[in-house]
Amino acid sequence: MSGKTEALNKYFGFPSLHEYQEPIVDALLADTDTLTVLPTGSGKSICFQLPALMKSGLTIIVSPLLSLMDNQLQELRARHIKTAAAYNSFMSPEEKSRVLSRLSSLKLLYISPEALSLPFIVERLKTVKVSMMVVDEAHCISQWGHEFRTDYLKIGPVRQALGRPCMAAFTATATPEVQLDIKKQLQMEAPAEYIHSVDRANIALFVQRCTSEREKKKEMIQLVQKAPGPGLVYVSSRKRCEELKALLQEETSHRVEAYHGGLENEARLMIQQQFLHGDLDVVVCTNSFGMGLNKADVEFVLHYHFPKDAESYIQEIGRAGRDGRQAWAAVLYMEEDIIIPQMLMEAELPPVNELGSALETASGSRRGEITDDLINSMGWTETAARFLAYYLEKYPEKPGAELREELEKQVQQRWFEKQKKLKVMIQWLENSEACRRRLLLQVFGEALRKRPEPCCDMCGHRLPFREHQGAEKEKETAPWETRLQELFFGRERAKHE
Amino acid sequence: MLFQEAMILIALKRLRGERTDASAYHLLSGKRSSQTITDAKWFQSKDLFGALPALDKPQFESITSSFYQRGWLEAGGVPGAEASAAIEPREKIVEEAGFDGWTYRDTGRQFWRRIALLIQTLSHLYQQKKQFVPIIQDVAAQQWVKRKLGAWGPEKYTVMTRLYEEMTDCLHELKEVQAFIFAYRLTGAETLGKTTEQIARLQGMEKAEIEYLFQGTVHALIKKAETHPGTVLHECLDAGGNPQLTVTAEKTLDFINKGLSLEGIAHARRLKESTIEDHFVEIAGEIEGFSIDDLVPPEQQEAIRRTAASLDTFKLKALKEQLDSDVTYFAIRLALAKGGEKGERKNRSAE
Repeated sequence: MSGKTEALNKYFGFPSLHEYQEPIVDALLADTDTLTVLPTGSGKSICFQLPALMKSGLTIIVSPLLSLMDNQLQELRARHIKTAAAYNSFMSPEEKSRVLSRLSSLKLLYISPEALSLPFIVERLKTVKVSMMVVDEAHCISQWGHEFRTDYLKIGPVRQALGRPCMAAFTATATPEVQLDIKKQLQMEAPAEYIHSVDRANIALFVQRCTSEREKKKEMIQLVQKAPGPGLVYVSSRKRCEELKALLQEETSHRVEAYHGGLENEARLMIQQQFLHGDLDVVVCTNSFGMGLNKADVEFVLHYHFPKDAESYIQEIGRAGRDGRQAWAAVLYMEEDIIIPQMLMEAELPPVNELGSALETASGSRRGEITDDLINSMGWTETAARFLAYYLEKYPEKPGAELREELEKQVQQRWFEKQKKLKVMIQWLENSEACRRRLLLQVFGEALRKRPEPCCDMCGHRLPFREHQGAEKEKETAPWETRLQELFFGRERAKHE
Repeated sequence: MLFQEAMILIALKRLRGERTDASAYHLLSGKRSSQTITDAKWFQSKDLFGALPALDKPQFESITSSFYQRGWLEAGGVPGAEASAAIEPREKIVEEAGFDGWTYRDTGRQFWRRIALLIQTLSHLYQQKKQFVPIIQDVAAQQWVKRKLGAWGPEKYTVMTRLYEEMTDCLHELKEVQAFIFAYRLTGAETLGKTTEQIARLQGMEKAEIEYLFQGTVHALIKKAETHPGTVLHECLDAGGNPQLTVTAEKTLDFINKGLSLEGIAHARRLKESTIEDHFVEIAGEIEGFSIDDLVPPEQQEAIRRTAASLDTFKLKALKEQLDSDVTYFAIRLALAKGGEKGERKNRSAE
């Protein structure tokens, strides 16, 4: 038995790796830089967790989302791997210092890009042996990418400061342009590359053109009613989320709930868990749902509002059919909807006409508090505030007028990029001739090798609804005494008493 | 009538036209200000304090103005006969729900988190399921559960059975619907909890009312736990109950303890004297050992309370007119804050 298999057994209880995981693990064990593009939900994390546990020294994992960090940590803890910890701004000062004090005994440290760019953190990291750096969601580093985050640009310099440990970049979606940028920004000269197709052959693709809100609603109700689910309906705002949830509750026989940022923590978790465990058929959600949620049997992803670019689209529909069964994705497209991503994109960038007063605000801010001050006093989104904060830090010496000019240029550039991506998305939606799958793959520089059946509406295929299972839905009217017994002792025992 | 409309009328009825309408809003939304806390106490409305946390001012105003138009509210902000009759069933619910947002808002949150997570954890362990996503993400509650499990060791299943029995007993003492809400909010190894909204649908009731009844159940459990040392529920309480002061009043109390005068504190904190006076009133009402005798001579305190009792009012202006001219508004408020508590106790024992 090789050391790898042994470790895999010991830590994860698996007999073997998947074919595509094997070479990645080997490369990282040999300290080779790697760039991996792998669809989400296909066992990405084990590719770096395993080598991290086997190597001596610390592996730093840069992760942009708290929920992703939490999920992975919880999974590791459930496997009794105690040498993993997280460091992020949501932790209390005590928790943070506890993590820093046990750095030398850790194997995996999950950290947010903001935290990693703090000078005192870098100093602390210098005191231990860092054997590997992993960048999750690596497309965030590219300004050609759809989720550009300025904080990611600091990862490269930190790598340098830590003595250039082995670097592993992972992403689920990256166009060739973005892949190049990742390599450049992370200072990977000749990495081993594992680029998997973004194509998900078992997800059939459909676009339904609508001319009015009423028609969209009608279509949505019909599709959802015909599909047994489980399924997701993506919408753009909390308000619409609630509205469409109520409509589907009324008009379909499904168990439907809404999920968005406006819910209380506890309710959000409950809905996530209910969906995961099959207590719900459909969740109407904003794009905050699904991150790190691994549900294998999702039948469909229905976009009531379409996302701002093809990358987001690929990511969102990728939540369907992870168990390999036939699944489908459909967009209800109405021309007027284009205003929604436009507005979202606008909010993600600093408004050019407010740059002057923002610079004034920032000049009165303390170091490290610029972002918060901009959010609070200018009412900017976090993304916009971080954008400005980054360039302020990058050009500390630039005089005001020049800085402003530079910033305007950067904002324009970003805006231009975003518009370009949106245009690609719209073109794909409006396409009425070519195979949708082929066009979508083209965006990612891929050719369609084999057309699945069903493929898409353009190929003349129909929506592959699954069979309704006649299983009766749980009736929740048990008296509270029974419920309480079940809670404590489980259904079996409750039945006997 | 919607739950929140009824609650607004109930609040206004309790305030008897002796406060502005906005006071009812602050009371229901649970504003932690000295004045609102004092109102909750004087008008014996702890069961309304923070009863509608989601209510916003424009909503409140549009509801009250429509009540004035319909004649349900009379000039002076008191519900008329028709409105009074309409809210009667709701008043009964409020009386019996056990809700006490004034005393238990914060403890209630913590108590619930601990209980919910404890039950989820114990039920998983008992059914030999080790992996689960904690339904409560609060780190403090997670650490508390961990500590408790460590302390109980192999006894934990006995503790679990005791907790189950204690809860069954407590819930039996409450209204059926409250027991239902509580049991369905909880998550176990095989049964996932329901959100307030889902329970509201199951019961065919409003979300706001379900939430109120749920909080009421939590508060009732705490009350029970407080008086029953040795129970598992008692162990879920926080050790050492601090009096509920606003943060700013707490600061003023620090200065008082250092020996500063009211004027001195106002100067030191760069606040208006009237603000510090508010703090004094709040502290007088909250902290039993806090003597106001230096500020209001005992015989004057007596006179104020007597007058309030004989006029049956807390309206400051009416009291001031009846009392000697050297009795200040501040003195009246202080005396009532100190006395309010006693008055209520008498009331309770009379029941």
